[in-house]
Amino acid sequence: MTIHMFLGQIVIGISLAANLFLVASGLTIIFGLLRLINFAHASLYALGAYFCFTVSGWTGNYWMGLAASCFATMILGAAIEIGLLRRIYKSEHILQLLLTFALILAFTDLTKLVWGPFPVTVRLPAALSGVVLLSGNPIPVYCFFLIGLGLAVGLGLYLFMYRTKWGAVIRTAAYDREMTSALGVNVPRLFTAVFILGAGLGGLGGGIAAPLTTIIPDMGMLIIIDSFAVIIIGGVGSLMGAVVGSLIIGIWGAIGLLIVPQFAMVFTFVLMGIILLIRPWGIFGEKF
Amino acid sequence: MAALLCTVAILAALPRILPKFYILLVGSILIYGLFAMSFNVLFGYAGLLSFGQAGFFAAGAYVTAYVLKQMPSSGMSILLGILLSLCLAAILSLVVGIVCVRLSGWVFAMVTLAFGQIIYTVVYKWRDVTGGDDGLYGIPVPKLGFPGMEIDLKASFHHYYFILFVVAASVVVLRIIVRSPFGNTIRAIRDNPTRAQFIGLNIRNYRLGAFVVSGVFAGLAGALFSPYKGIASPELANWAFSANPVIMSLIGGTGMFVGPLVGALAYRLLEHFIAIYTGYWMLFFGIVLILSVLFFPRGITPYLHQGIRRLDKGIRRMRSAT
Amino acid sequence: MKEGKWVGSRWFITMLVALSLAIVPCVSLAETAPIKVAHVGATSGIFSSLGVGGKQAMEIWESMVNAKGGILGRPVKVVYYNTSAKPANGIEMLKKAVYEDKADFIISTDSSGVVLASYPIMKELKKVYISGTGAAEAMQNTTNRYCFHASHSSRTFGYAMAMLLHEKYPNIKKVIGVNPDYAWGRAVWAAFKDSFRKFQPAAEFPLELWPPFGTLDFKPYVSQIMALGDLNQCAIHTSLWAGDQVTFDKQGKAFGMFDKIGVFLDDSSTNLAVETALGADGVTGWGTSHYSYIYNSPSNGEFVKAWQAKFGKTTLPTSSAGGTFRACQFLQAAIAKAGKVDTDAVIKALEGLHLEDTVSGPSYIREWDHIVITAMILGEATKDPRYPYFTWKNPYIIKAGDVEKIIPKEEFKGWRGNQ
Repeated sequence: MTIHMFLGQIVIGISLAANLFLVASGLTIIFGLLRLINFAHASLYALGAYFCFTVSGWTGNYWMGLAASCFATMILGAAIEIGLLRRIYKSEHILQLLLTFALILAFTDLTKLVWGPFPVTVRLPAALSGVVLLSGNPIPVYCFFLIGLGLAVGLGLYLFMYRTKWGAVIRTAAYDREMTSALGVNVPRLFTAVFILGAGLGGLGGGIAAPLTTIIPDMGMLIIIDSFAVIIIGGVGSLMGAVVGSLIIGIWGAIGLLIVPQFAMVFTFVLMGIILLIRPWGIFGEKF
Repeated sequence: MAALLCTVAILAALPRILPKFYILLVGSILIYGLFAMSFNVLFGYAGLLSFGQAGFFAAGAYVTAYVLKQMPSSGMSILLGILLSLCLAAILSLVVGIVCVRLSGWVFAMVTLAFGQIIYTVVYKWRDVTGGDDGLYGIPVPKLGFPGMEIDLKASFHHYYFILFVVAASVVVLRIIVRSPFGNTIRAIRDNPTRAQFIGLNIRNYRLGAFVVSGVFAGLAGALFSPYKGIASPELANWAFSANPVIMSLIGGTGMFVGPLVGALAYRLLEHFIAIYTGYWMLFFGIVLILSVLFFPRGITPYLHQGIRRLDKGIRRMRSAT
Repeated sequence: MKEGKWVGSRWFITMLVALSLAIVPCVSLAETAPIKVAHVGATSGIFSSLGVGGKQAMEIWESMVNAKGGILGRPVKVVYYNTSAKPANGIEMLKKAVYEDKADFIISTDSSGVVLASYPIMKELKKVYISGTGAAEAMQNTTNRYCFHASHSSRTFGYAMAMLLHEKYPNIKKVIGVNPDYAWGRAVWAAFKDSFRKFQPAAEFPLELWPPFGTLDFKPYVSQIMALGDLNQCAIHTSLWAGDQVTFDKQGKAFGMFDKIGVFLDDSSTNLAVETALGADGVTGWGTSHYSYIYNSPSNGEFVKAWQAKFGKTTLPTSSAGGTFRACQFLQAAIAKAGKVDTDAVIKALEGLHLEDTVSGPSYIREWDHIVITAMILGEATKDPRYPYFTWKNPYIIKAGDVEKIIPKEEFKGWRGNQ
């Protein structure tokens, strides 16, 4: 394998990382503030893809579909948070885990009920089809779009979290809920807002993935383990951690398959295990 | 103790009342119940949530399946299989436990999940030994026993009694463990680890002990599972399978010793009856779980227990009035 | 958390007895009038396109049979079970079907893994079991009298594709393999390589890729393929199927792979399912199948017509649907020939049974390995104005007699493990 090929594979790995980042960032933001491991994120991802499929089918326009994948999941996220999650914030963590797990089960079947069990696809928008030659390797234009979008979202989230008032409020509330509430912030509404944001990111991740993947009811289950690995390795609650974690897993996903195709899968779990043992809060997480 | 004997007596009588398929169902409920109880030793009594117990279950299932396939005609093979399963489960849980007991909370849960997935990947990839994604099927169920005193496990009643016996014995052993000084110490550590350390207890060793007990009994459940079902397949090691004892314990109630058993019964019955009416059983089951988390967070056993107590009181009152 | 206490034994007993009694009334009594056929299939999960197609075929068969008066004057009732392609579920559903619901016969549409795991159980259940799909060579069985296989083996797939490549594209000597890393992928690719080498002594295999089962993203693999120099002199052979192939095809298209290669060989048997998902963005190339709608036979004409009447004018029966229907055709004929619904009699009737008119033409069941020998149909996927996806033209048919020669008795080596 030449250096050129290697370079090509790395770029592909970065595009995988970008997709993963969208999903993982939603998960980590929700955990950062709500201290909730949201298994249902997997369903929001899948539903994002399905909403994209339906709306781009109606309108004939992928971009409308992408917008739908983001906004529709935000609405769904609001419903879940207000209707269900609010009641269990005070419960034990295991009950919260179980609730979000129950949500994946229910949503997977609901998806099957509404859209059927067969795979469906979304058309690659014409504006983004075609390849770009990168030192001899053809790379789909869409990969660069993914990378670009990942960067934009990452930058946007960073600016929001660290340069705006509301970002500061969220970070403070993540650090100390009660104090923030005592200072007059409506924390429950903040929780809802953050959950909506996280849900939207997950749904967007699904909509973005749609044109270059197959949409099936179980697609959320497949990406959720990778997302967990990302935030555990990178550090829960940390945006930088989500970036770095996604890059590690994404690039490894592209390169590892060439070096050790049989055991690429195990490496992710081994890495996850190692991090949990020597530095359980992840590379960029906050010590607890 | 009396209640245990009565329960066993009723379960033993079931083959005469229920048709064959339901006996198979009850047998599998017993096995799942044991699995759930092993989980609850770690969760309810030691306060540690593990998402990787399926790894030990699968270890037990595969070892027994392998032994039975290698020695299909020996009377000792199923006992040997169970013994080796317990050994492997003990070794694995010791190794994983040593690594994990330094942690707690959700980090502990994630590490056990990671280890469970590693076991899953090994089982899935190691085609030569585990059959890969096909699993080990066609497991012969031989006669059990020593020459001169043999029980033919092929007759499904006999196999059911065997399972009933092993599970009942395990429940007794677990009860003894949980009521012992070791059990009390575990619970003290769960309730207040800092104070336990101050008293001078080595909480890591105790937690390791609980982890190994849990892993060994999970392995035993697995060892009973594969001959009974006729197959050992990789998904028995997957994290989704690890969720089963968690759900069963929670539905039944983790605060009571028999909670997980009741939970296993409820879960399997629900699964069976919902599946008859709809192909979308995950939807209904998800709804049931959500309702149970919202309205029955301590599981159904406390309510059953209360209900029985009230009935009991009511009847006593009636009797003393007459 | 409090420790629980054992309650007064009286009430505990009452509770348990009550629970037990609750279960008993739900036992269903066996009906003696209709012939019960259980359909055990993977109707959910990754293999669902397989299982659902089979279920749909069963629905059509059931109504067709009953419209013509049933079998031996008795109506047919199909009961459906879902295995989610998990072998442990497969076994449990079989026991449920036979012990609880008193099924007389079993037809399955499932992954090879589930089918093989089911074989030993049939010896205990003592009912006829015919699988409509699945291609493991282990399904050629000489030790289990209850089990029959109504579709092609992986060897036939690989061989047929090699034969087609050599005949239609004699100038292509290089083949790139992209096959899933598990039993199916390995078996098909091995059979293809062996056969192609025999047809084409100068055969070369410049790249052999093995994406693990469950791979979400094939871009790293496509990228490797694109790095090869002379793609237009290469064929790509893949046995990736259903959803996985859809992803591979979409990603390959994004790289412009399909414009560069010589020919695309879809050796997965699921070409229709793949093209249906891709829609207008379909992929041209040749595909193999357990069954194809383009085959011209009276019963196939009837089957396709009934399918479109029930499921829509723009739908077509898939490979697994046809394979399942074929299994039903054999079952029906065997019961009629045996004259009774007795397992042993039907087994005897099935062995050696010749049917002139099946959905894939004249076919028969080999006595010694219980396999249905039938035509292997390949086709070229192309744009079709009648359908919103690519359909097959130019059928390339390997007749049953020639399929027999691909898996002859002399080369049967016997299989590991018991069946």
